[in-house]
Amino acid sequence: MPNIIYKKSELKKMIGNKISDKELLEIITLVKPNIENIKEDNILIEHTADRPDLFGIEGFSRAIKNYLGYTKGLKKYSTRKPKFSIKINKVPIRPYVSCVIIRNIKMSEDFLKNVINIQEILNNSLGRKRTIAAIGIHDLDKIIGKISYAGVLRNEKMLPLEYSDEIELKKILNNIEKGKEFGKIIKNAKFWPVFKDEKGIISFPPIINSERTKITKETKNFFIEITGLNKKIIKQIMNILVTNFSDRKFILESIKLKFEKKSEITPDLSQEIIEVEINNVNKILGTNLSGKEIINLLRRMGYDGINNNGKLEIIIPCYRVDILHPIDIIEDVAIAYGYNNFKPKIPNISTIGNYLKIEKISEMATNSIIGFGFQEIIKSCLSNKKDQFEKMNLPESNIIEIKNPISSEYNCVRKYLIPGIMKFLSLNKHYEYPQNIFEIGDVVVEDKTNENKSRNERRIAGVICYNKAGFMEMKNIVKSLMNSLDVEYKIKLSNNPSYIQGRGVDMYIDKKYCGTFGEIHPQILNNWEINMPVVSFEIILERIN
Amino acid sequence: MENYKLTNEGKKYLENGLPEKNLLNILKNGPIEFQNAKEKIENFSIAIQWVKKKKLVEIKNGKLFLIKNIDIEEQKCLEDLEKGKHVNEDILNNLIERKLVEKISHDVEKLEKSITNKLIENLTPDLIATGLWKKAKGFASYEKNFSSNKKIFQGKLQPYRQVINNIRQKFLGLGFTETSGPYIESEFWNFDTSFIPQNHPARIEMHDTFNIKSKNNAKNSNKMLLERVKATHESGWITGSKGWGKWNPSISKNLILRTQTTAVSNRTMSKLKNKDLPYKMFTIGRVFRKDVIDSSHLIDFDQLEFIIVADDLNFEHLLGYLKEIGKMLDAEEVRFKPSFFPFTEPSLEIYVKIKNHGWLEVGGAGIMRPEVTIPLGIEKPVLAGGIGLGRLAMIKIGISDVRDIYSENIEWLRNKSLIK
Repeated sequence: MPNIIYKKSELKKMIGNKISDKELLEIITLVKPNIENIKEDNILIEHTADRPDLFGIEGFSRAIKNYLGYTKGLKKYSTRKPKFSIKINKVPIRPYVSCVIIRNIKMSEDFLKNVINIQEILNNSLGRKRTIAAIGIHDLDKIIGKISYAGVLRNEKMLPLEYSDEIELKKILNNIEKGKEFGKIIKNAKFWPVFKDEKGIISFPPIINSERTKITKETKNFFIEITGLNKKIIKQIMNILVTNFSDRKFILESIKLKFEKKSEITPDLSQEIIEVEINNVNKILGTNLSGKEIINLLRRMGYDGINNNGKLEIIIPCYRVDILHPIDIIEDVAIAYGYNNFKPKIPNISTIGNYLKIEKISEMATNSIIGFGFQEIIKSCLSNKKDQFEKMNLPESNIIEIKNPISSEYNCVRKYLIPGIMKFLSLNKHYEYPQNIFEIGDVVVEDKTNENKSRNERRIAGVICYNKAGFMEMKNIVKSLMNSLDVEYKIKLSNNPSYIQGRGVDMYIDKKYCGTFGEIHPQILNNWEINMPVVSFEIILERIN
Repeated sequence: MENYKLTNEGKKYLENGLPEKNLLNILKNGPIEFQNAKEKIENFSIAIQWVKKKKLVEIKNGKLFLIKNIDIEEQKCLEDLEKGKHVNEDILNNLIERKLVEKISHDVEKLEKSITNKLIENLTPDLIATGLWKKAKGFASYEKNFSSNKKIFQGKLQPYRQVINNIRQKFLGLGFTETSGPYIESEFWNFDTSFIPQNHPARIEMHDTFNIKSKNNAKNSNKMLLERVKATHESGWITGSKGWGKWNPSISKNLILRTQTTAVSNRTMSKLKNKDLPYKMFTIGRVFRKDVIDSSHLIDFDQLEFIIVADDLNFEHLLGYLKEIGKMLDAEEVRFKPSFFPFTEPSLEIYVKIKNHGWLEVGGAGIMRPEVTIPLGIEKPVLAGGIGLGRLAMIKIGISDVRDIYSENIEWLRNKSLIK
């Protein structure tokens, strides 16, 4: 999940400078994030997706301070009463809105970078690349008159960020980088969402803000708007942002949103309460903690709570977005307790392990074929139609194809093992022969009767490759292999175009096809640029009982 | 006749007489009891066989009577052969058949000449059978050849397979039952049953996930489970959770290449009955992630996943098993760090200290979330863990590029020693 770079010195300053480097790094991993690397003053942190409240340096340092005990328990966040109201018209493509004003900002170049950075990170993570929610931050003092939110037609004009001329909204989608990237989110709607002041459009969410209300090093007050499809997520993003700003001692001022029939004041920093039973905490963690001890541990994670006859009422800080279930609180008890302070135990339960039958058969087949001097190879299960069919002279047949492959080399799931082995041979032409190799593994075949319209099939395949490789040698090997597996089979001349006609056979167990072997046709050897005779076999191990 | 010689048996008869000749000699003095003759004549059964065949003797009332007394030609033949005289070919063939005479090949004579008082280079079957090796001066020493480098190619398991097999054996030994599942999965089994929200980045943007081109979507045959999963995602159902919000059954039917083996655990749990408990399961199998292939990333690789289902399991038990598993993987020390997975809570990462390599993250684990287990019909605690086999295998095999796990170099595979 998000990898974010922090300045170690800045982080330490926000924590209170009492902490050593070593202690800082240790605490970070105890809280949850991973330290990816450290270069001079920069620490690259990998955060987990459940804790977007830690992405910003304010929330990150807050959690560390709590864990260290520098601050403890629930932090209270409050807002000033609204002075502004915004008219919110219906915009079906982006119906939900939350707004706030931030005053008394202590601006600096670092902080400005910081704000733009966290905005982008939250847009990408919680906002799912702006689809579900997107943040717009403006210089409040550059806004003229009343603000409103409305849907407008695509030929309206605005002055987009970093531009000097007004442009039609539809041209923003077609010509400007951000428009091309995020335009698909609103493209099909008739009315597109905008915030306007009395001079025109200040924001075109989720695409771009206006140059006119851009935040700069001189900005003293913010107007922040968050729009999107999911009210809950918009609230989460808002609360993470404003609690971060509040931690910097900036002033939060609510805004009254006036909808057609009702009004609403944002942000909503109310705290939820969740009930957690002491018994349940101890049962899950294997501990013997009292209610008081649990609450004390949770205070180090930023919560507060009261003990109500064995039931703990835990107050969740408004920036925590990951608490769905009491179990999530219990994890935080465990984190505060310290994972490495638990006493690992093995419970007194007895079970008998059992292997899969197909693995046993695979092991038998492997042992047998190794007895003939074959070297095992292991390959990716992904392949392509050219290797699977064309280069093997096979007519194309049903195969599992990938809708979004990373390359044409790996755009389907293999159906046969032999093509992979041929490829291996073609890559090893300069090494000594004979090259007798085999692979054992799963292929995937279409199967309409199955829940997933396909099934895995375990196969073993191998080749003999040297100047005298021939049908009879392989016939004897296959015979011994099948004898080792204790199965009777019959062979029939094969029409498989991969073989020289008359030198390939199909194998049957109880009249059911179970495999094939034969001399590979020289045309196929030319296709793979292998200048040595090859005789191959491929057997479906599921057919062997 | 220089080309034939008597066998050891032939030499014995030359000295003591052929059995049939000895029998005739006795019968010249009159009939004799069968039993009596049997005691007197060595190799009596051979004697009887030949005198009957030549109609020289008849058996009546338990007595042997001489019909005709002739010289046994074979006896003469043995004598002549020993003297190197020419003999009748039919009789000779008869003696060869009786293994009393054998052919001396010219080769052997040549061999004898070639070897006498010389050093034997190659010890051959002829030298052994004829005993001619005794006539040689001795054996040539091969010491001068000791430095020769000619290779032979042995059949072997691929090194990565050896690592997997070792781990597999250890899990079986710890009482885990092996299971498996299909590579092609529905989003339902890969994501929904693991309580991964439908707007999770891996799902909405096909971020890490390979989707399947298919006219058909997955069928979901278990209607009851579908309803439970839907209710859990939407509002938590009876799990005590708030849930994620809206859940769309048609998304759950999309077919993908599985991104994790969790689907195998979930399928297994959905079929688990009370009588199967306590239960430990593991699976080792390929998973697929859309990524850029480089020295530390593959797009299909193996994962090991395990679950333990029993009464009263807790976090300390999870850590206990993980410590044990860490030791099994040759860790000198095992440590845990908080982490996040959508399907477990508490969640952790497992770090092991491996000799000469230091600390290595080998996997994740946790207690399965109630939002996962309750819809699957499991009310007991479920401990779960996953181990990435790639990095462990790299250390065991001694390679630094993960792509070499699927080595395409036959020379390297041939020369690689077995994995301890």
